[in-house]
Amino acid sequence: MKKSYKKFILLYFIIVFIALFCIAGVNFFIDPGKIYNIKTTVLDKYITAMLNSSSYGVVQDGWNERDVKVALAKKIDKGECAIIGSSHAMQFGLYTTPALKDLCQNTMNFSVSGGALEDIVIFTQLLKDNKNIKKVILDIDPWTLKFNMDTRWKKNKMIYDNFFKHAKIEGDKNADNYVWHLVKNLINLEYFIESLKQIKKQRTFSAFENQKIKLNDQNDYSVGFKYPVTLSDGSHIYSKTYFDKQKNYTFNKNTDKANYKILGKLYHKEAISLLSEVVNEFRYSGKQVFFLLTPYHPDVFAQDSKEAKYIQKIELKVKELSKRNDVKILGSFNPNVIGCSNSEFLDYMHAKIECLNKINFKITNE
Amino acid sequence: MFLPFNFFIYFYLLEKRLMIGAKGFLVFSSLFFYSWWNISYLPIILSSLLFNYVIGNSLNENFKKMQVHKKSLLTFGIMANVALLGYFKYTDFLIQNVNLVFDTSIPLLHLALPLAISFFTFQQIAYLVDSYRGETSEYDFLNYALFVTFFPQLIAGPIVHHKEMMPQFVSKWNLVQNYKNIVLGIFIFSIGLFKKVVIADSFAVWATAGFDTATTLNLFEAWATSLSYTFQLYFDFSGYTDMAIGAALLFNIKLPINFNSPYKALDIQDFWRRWHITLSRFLKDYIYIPLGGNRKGSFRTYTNLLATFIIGGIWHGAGWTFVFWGFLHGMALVIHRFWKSIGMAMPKILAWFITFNFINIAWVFFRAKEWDDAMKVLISMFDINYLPESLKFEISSYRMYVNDILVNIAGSLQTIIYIIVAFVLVLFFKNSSYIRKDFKVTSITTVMIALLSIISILHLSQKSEFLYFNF
Repeated sequence: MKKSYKKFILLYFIIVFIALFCIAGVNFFIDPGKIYNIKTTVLDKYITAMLNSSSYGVVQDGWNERDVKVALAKKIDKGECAIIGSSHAMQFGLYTTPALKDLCQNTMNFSVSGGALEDIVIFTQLLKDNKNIKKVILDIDPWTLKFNMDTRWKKNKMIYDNFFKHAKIEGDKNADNYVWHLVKNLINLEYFIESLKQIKKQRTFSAFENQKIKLNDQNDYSVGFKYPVTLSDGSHIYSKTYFDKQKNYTFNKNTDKANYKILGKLYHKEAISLLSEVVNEFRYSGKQVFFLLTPYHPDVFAQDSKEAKYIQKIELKVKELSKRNDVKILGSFNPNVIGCSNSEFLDYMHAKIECLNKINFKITNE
Repeated sequence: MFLPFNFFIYFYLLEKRLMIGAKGFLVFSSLFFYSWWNISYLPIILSSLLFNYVIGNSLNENFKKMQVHKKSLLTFGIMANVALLGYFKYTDFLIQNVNLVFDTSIPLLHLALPLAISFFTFQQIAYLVDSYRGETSEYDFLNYALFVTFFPQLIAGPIVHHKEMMPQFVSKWNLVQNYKNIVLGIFIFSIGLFKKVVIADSFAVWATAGFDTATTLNLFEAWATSLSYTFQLYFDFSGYTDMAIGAALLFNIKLPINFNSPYKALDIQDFWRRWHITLSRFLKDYIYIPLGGNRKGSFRTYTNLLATFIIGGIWHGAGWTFVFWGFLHGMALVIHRFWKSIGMAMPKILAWFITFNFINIAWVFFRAKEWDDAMKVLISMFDINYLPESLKFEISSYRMYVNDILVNIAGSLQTIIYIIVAFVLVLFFKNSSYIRKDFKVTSITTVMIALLSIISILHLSQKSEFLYFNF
């Protein structure tokens, strides 16, 4: 009997260890989040191609945009204005929204999908000492004044933590050890499933080379290209398919609740302090900071819904912040202030280029 | 890593015949385990340990060094324990109520609640009472320290009794590795881990969304929220208990069972014989019976029941929702006792239905952080006007999307499947303590248990923070 118990223990541990070892191996080597062995060569080639391709747009599909934008922020040696924010600000660039010329001679867009306050902190850490950048446009969304409104920023948590170390301010007290997170992630089920999916579609630079989209003077950025592309100034152009799909978008009050990340508290006091700290960090290195608000669909406001009231309250809070920090505000959540019509929206919270181009970037001394 | 490390060191020391060293090591590692969360709690548990050991031994018939009136000493001991618990757990609750009643603005202390204080305090109060009754023997400090701090049961019970633990700590049979206990320990621990990280943590997502995040809930979301919490609590707590029992078995220590398929209960008394059994035992032996139990007539029995469960409610947490939860259970027990006394009966299915739904509804008060949160869930559970918009809309076209009707709790078809599976598991399957009795070592059971462990380990960090998902 004792023998069978010993056999159980031995067999049990052998199975468990071999299985976990295999899973950790797959997660480490496939590495879908590129956290263990980032293939910098491929990414660097991508960034170089992107920066040097005034006549090309690089196909974004399949690339982790945070990887790309972080690599871009580390490498960049041009761009008077840096735009940091979420998908609401991803389309901004001199090619797409010439109105920006009133403020900047050249721009570099670091906005990412799901951009949250933590992403702003990450790009602040990367860009604050960049000598080329003179002006910083921080896209503020209704969720920017709160923590943990997205999880995607966490792949750059090390940079986020560095901000607090360098700025000598207190960060997240409950922040776990990043290295320990990496180790635990080796045996993460979700990561493992994603690794298995990735095995079939390993990306190479040659695949990207074949997908460059040639631009020319006649390009109408509001129509889009065959694939979503990133231009050499970091701005994003949606695919033609997407533009066509959203061409006749109408706000449906039954399905479009306009409540994306609009819930609970309006803001966290600590988040507001952190945003002020971000502004100060840029100021210390002689950069001018602006807040950018992008409009929501007119029907969101026409409804007088709780979401509309929420958005309006946030705008008031941003105005209060701008006064306190002496930061100018560009744009508004309210499309009527900008002068955007119903047809100038891709959905209830993403304006088309035509609408974004109506934002006034002229700075007066008032 | 902590558990295997302790296991090997403990038995290594025993193999070298260092009995005191081995026990000392286990006490030290238990205190290390306790301090891991917050080292500032360590002096609290150490002071409590030392204080109760001295008082307990002074109360003990076999230890008469102190010439103090025994009842006064017991009262002092209990008061000191209750004061410690009260200070950390209930001060802010008291201040809040004083401020509310007297319109004052006394600042809250915001004291951090020391880990497991409710468990080790109750355990030691029981020890003091038994010492007063002369039911304890003369224990040495090391064994007593191990009885209080033994890490598998330190954080969330079971609330153990000195009578069931002390003999095990001194038994020479428990000083050698027992392969049968190791196998059973791994088996029970694996089941517990699976219950906790795979089942309970999945339900936690929907329960948290429903109670804490959603501003409104439709009828389906409200039921999914309450049932999710009902199952989360059971699988979480019983899973933790299984892990404690399994871990203790590795050290040849048998902990008492704490859950015996409570959701199979056919009445509320039956439920409390199956749910958190060691707490029920404590409440009965050290509160209900000393209050007079059922020895002083029906009215006193009812008030004793009510008082016991209100205390039980307060023990669980400082808030009126906990008090109300205790009151509800006390009232249910009173009604049940009255029902039994007049000889009424009901069909088993109806009895189960009423009991389960009462428990499910009462958990809403237990879980809600604020009274309004409880009302939000309860009103939506019973008001037909809270049918989801999409359902009203889709009925006309004979279509219904599950994702739409559970949108506010981030639920999907998976939520419904989980709830159905949980019902099947709690109602039609044997619980882990019964499965343990029937357990046979075969290659198939070994592979099954290994598989259970692998799935659980993979679920330990369910969501990968490092994955990127498209907008």
